[in-house]
Amino acid sequence: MPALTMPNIGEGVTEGTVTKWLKAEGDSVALDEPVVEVETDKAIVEIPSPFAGVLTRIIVPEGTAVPIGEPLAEFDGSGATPREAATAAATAPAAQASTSRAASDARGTGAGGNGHTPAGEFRRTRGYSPVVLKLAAEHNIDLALVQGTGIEGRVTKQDVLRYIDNPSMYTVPPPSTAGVVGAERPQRAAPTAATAAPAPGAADGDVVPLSATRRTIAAHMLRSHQSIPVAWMMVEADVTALVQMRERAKQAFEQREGVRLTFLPFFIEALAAALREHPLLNATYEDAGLRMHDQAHIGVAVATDSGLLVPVLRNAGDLSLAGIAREVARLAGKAQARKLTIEEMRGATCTIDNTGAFGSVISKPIVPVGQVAIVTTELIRRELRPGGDDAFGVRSVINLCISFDHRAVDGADAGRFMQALRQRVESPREP
Amino acid sequence: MALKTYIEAIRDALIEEMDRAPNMLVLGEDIQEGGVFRATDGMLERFGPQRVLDTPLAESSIVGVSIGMATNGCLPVAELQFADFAYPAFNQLISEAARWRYRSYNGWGCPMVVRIPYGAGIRGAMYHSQSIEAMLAHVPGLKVVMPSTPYDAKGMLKAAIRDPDPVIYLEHKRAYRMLKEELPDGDYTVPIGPARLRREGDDITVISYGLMAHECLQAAEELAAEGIDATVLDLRTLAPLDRDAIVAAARRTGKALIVHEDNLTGGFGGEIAAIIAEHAFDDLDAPVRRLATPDVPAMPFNGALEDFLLPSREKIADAMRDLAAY
Repeated sequence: MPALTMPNIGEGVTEGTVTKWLKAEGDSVALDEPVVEVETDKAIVEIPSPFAGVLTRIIVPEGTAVPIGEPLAEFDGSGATPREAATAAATAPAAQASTSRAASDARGTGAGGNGHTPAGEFRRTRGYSPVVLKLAAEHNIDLALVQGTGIEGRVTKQDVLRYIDNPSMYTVPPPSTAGVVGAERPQRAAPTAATAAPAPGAADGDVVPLSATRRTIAAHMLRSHQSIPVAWMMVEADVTALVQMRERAKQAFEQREGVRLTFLPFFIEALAAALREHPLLNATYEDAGLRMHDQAHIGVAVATDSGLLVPVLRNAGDLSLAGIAREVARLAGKAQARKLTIEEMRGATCTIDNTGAFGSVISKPIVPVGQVAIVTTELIRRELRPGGDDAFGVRSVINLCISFDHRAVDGADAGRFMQALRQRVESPREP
Repeated sequence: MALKTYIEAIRDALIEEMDRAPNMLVLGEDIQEGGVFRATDGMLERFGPQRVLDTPLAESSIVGVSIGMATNGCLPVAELQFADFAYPAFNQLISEAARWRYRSYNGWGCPMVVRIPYGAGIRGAMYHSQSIEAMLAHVPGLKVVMPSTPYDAKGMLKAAIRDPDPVIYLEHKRAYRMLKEELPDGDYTVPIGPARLRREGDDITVISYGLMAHECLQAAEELAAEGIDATVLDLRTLAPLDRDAIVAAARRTGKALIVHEDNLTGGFGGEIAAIIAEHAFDDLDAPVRRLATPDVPAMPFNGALEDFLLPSREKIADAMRDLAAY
């Protein structure tokens, strides 16, 4: 009796929680038809059926987490056709060409395949190949630490050899979104003394189970807090000109570009420019040295119903203000819908968090592991300030805060960087 | 040194061996006229009709007569016009020639060579395109060689002619005039059996033979520019098979791609993959992959369809990229 198993959804994902069955026992299911919704620490995904047949038994109820490879449901044996057989039957003979390209092209016509899993080809059945396991045993290597460059982040033989030569250079890439990412290899936070020992009055109150997202956030916040000596600084900027300009431009901008003009794109544009002038802040601290990134990939913290997600705005320095606005809107929309891909959540080189959206005027963010700085933009307030002629006037002011990794960055560096950031937000360009 | 095409290398080997061995003769359909691919061009004039024999259009007869000659002191080198026409001769090859030595308790060999042009890519359609090596290499007692260069074509044909047992010599029709190489002037042979590393690299291993080995080498050079460094192993002989070379090449990178023009299912690539799985498992870093022609009943006449089906340099390069990325 063929079974549907918890598939390997993405790199580093080790388990998933069944959130919703889309089919009931007794239902017929077509090949590749979504059959169950699974939540991982990264996303909620619908799992397509690898069989055509009848769902006979649901093994894992909704709300239960199981490791990858565990059976989720059983299918009727007679009618159930494993993906490979169905695919081959539908597409013979071209699928036998055995090039993945030919096979997947051909499959499109037959089984309506979604192309997620090329039949029989390159599908990961286990984590590590024989040679990788052998090398790891010979050199006493924890493979979880090795940066994988193969398909789906697979650790290849070459990866292990490189790691043996230079462990610090090829350790798992640092997490790339504030707190959340680095989820390449989600690490369960080891129970600390505080959590392991029953707290006084522990019997009181209900325990709300941790969602996968919550657990990942927890692990990465803890990792950052324990590994990065953080220093903090705040500057104040006069954004009166920016506020006035946005007020003037926002209507035409929205009509022209199709997205609302918020302050965030201005701040991202300024941040990307400041990072270009001060590349030290756009780096990764590694044992071997500071990895200076060529491009600014800016993580943008997004608060969602299920927790903090940090999609990444790639090559932010290459984008126009409108391009930034559109990309922020797109990523934020996907974050709210929990449709972000892993690719869209990795590789940030610096992060911005608009804490002012919650009314905050000062905040102290945690530096994401793998980055050396995170910047917050606080509430824009109207204040009475002396002007150049000593006459008081109403000005719009904002606090810009930075937390930085003091191993890599000194206060003077951070100060110069924040001055550059301030100058840019104080003299905005017309959008 | 002289620049020779693949077909000229074959002709030179035939002529030089005829000069060397007075008991050698060539036979086949229309070969007095030079043969369908001109392999025996000029040999009638040089060696006369007693040693350059035209035969009826009957492959079973050509091979059967060759067996009779070989077991009676002659050294026949038969030509079958196309691999597609070899099947009528299979009974003679498999049930007689291949088991002669075994059957006689090592008393007699059956020293003969059957040259068979094979392969597609020349718009030959159903009856002039087949690859038949897997069926023949399956048969114990037959040696099967598939040279991929003019140098090997000449040296291995000479070695085949001098071999004491029946040798099937498969030559790709598309190689005849496409492949050219400077060949040494003097006599030389290339031993039957050993494979040859055409290229060494640490990223992936490509294993092939015949004309596809040439295509793989070209694809590997192309990929070198992209930073993918491939080992390319040219088997040259399918039987007896150089298993050690296969295992060593697969171990070197842990990622093996096997390429042949014959169709996939039951193709010789399956044997190579099994050897790798049995003897190189601990060093594998990826599933062994095969690139071959799909299981179509015959090569289509339509050129676009033929191109779609055949492994090409581009498809090989794509498969190599996929494997490198794994």
